[in-house]
Amino acid sequence: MIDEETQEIFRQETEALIESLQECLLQLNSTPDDMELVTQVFRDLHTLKGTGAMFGFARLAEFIHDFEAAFEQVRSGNAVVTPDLIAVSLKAYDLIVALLEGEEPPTEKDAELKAALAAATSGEDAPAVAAEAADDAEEPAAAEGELEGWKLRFKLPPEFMEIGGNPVAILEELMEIGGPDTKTEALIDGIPALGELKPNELHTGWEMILPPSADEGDIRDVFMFHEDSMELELTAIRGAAPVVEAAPVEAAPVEAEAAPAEAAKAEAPKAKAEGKKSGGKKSGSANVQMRVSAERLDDIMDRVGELVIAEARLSDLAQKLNDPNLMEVVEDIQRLALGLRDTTMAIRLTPMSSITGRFQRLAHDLAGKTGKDFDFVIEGEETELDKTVIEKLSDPLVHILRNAVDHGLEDNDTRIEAGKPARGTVRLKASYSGADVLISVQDDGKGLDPEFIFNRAVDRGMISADANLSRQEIFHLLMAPGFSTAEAVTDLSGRGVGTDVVKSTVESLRGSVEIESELGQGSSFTLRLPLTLAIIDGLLLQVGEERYTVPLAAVEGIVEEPEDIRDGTDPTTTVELREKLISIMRLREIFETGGTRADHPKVVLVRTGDQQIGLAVDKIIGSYQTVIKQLSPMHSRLNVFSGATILGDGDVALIVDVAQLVKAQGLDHDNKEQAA
Amino acid sequence: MTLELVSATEDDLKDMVAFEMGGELLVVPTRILREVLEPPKLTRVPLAGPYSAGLINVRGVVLPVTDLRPLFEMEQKDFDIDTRVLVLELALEEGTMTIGVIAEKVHAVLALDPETIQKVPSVGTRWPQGAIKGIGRWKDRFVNLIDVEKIAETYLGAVPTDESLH
Repeated sequence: MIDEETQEIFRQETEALIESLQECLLQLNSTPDDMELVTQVFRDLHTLKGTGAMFGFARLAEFIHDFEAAFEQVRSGNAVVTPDLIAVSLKAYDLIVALLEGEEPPTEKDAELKAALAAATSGEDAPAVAAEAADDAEEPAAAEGELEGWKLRFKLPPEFMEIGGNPVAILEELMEIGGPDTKTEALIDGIPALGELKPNELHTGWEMILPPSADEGDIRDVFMFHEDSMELELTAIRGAAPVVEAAPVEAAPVEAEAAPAEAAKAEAPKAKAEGKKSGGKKSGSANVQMRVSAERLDDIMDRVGELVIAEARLSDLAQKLNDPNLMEVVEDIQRLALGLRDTTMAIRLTPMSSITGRFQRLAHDLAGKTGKDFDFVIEGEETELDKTVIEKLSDPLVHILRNAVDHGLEDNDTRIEAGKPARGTVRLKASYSGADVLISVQDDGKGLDPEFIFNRAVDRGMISADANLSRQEIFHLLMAPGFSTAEAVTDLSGRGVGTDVVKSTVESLRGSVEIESELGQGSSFTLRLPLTLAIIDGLLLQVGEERYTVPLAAVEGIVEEPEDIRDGTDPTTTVELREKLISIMRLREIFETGGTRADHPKVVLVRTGDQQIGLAVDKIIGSYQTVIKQLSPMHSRLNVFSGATILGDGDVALIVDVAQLVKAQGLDHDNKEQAA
Repeated sequence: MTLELVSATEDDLKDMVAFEMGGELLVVPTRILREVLEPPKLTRVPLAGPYSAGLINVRGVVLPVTDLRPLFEMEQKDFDIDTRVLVLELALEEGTMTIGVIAEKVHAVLALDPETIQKVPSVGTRWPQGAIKGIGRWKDRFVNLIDVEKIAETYLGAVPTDESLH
């Protein structure tokens, strides 16, 4: 039996393959002629099968074997990619995922899908025939002539014995498969001169002729664990029987139009053998990767955080002692700590593309279920985010996407009536904005109707009828628990559960959701998330006697505070700076810090969204490596602070969340519009 | 009338740490006490409401510190040589929360006789709803068994939200 730990390792190993598989299948849907994709699907399946068998997932391996066979048909030109094939393949994919998850779907499902796969690649409908065709696919060569035997040529890697391999055992195993008729010959051309010969290295290759009774799969299985690092050539030796004559025997029920395809099979075995080889090489030469548990990465990150704090303390001390020798060492350590921090953070960054596959799949399924035609466009897939953030984003994005298609997009007729192209567009876009990452889902559907949302919220008792809400606040009602605008509850969305998940997840990641919509034109949901949850570059400011940090990435400039606003005591004011009107937030007043006022107060210009805001402070202390410590539940609801950090002298300083502060002061655009 | 106490609480009663605030003697089980600190430098958290005393750095960990005196309607006298911070580990519904509680003076660890524990009258005391599990007697003084977990869940999370900043 497979223990849980093994399953877990296996799942991790296969995650990337599964993603790639699904993505290729979906891409094939739009570009069915892309042979590269077909080959990729084949390769992914092949690797999955191998890994599956290795980890003892027998049922999985067996199922994938037939799945692979279907794509072998396509690859060798015997079948073409049809929407049917993609649909069945996606179902087969789901079964694989279910099996990987450790679920145990009924076994009839395997057979059913196998038959459907075979049918989809044979051009036949009847599953009974299709099942035969599947067998056919396994041994495509049978159609073109009598199999006279197998020619096997292989060379194991030189370090084979060092890693614990036993070539004699391999030979014995092959002899067993081939029986007494097996002929074996050693290939000794690779053996170096005696002086250079190392006794623990293997340089001998072998050529074997196995009888036709040997099963190709069995032969290949012998090399299962070494395939990637060795040379392996397996070719069928066939009689000269003409292809066309052989065809009717095997494929009697196949319609006439299938015959050309049969003929094309002549090329198949060769292509298959080569394909396997190149497939193996491909994965062998790929980037050397290593899997590390996220927990260990978190550990490293914590330690780097501590190092950064210790470094700040050291640097503080060195400044005080003013010893040039010490300063030199401190600078070295500073540089090293910075490098270490960047590397560690880079390790944790994952591109958006690691999860976009499932959205493509979702879009595909949604199109099928809703009958709405739309293009699903993904932009900025290369945008990188902290791995933990990315994983948590998947669910909220699924909800938003579903809503965009289900509620956002109109059906085709309505669109045409409204003078829009019949085919809608849903866009998933990721991009950087200062210290944040923006991920938005836009649709060109009917847009959100603030009045409708407002009335509904009133009906539901969520707000009172005389509530004075801004446009943005009304839109945010959509994400309140228990709100659902769908007139009819559908299979896809509108059950009123889930949308509040969006808000809570994003907030737990210290992000925010922005909703924009133009009635009739479409809507967009934008998730704004901090780039990292661990360490940022911060600008340390002094306000009164207190110190605060703002993310350096948000800072656009520092100016002297204009004389004419210095004496004001309102929390906010407006001033003309560089010929632009800028809102100023007086941190001293907002935070009620007290303390003496500096002689030369400063204004820090920060960017939040598309707005520039000035923070009036007493003093700029400097830029600091800021290790973000989460606030406890006692303070975390106070969202104007995104966390705290420990300074070089051991004191705690709060990190100001500029966007939230702007919002709390009512200086964000939305509120302004309302006021106007 | 003796208060019905769950067995865990009975065990706790044998080992309570007593501290003083606003002239009252308060106890919490030593089970939840992690350490007692001399008042470290507190970083005030603006806008966090009256129960937040600020944040402290305890060996690289940032901990919130609460001042319960406003909650108990006690006068907040300045820190002096007796002032301490009790670091408590609370088991809340959302998980554990480590929090510092300001104490004007920390007394000994003491054992309370379960027989002396009485329910708190529902009216006419300074204690807000749910803050006190019961009142016991120790050496002719009343001791108040405060329910820090309940206080943290009921009162301390209730900092002003951003709406109140408008």
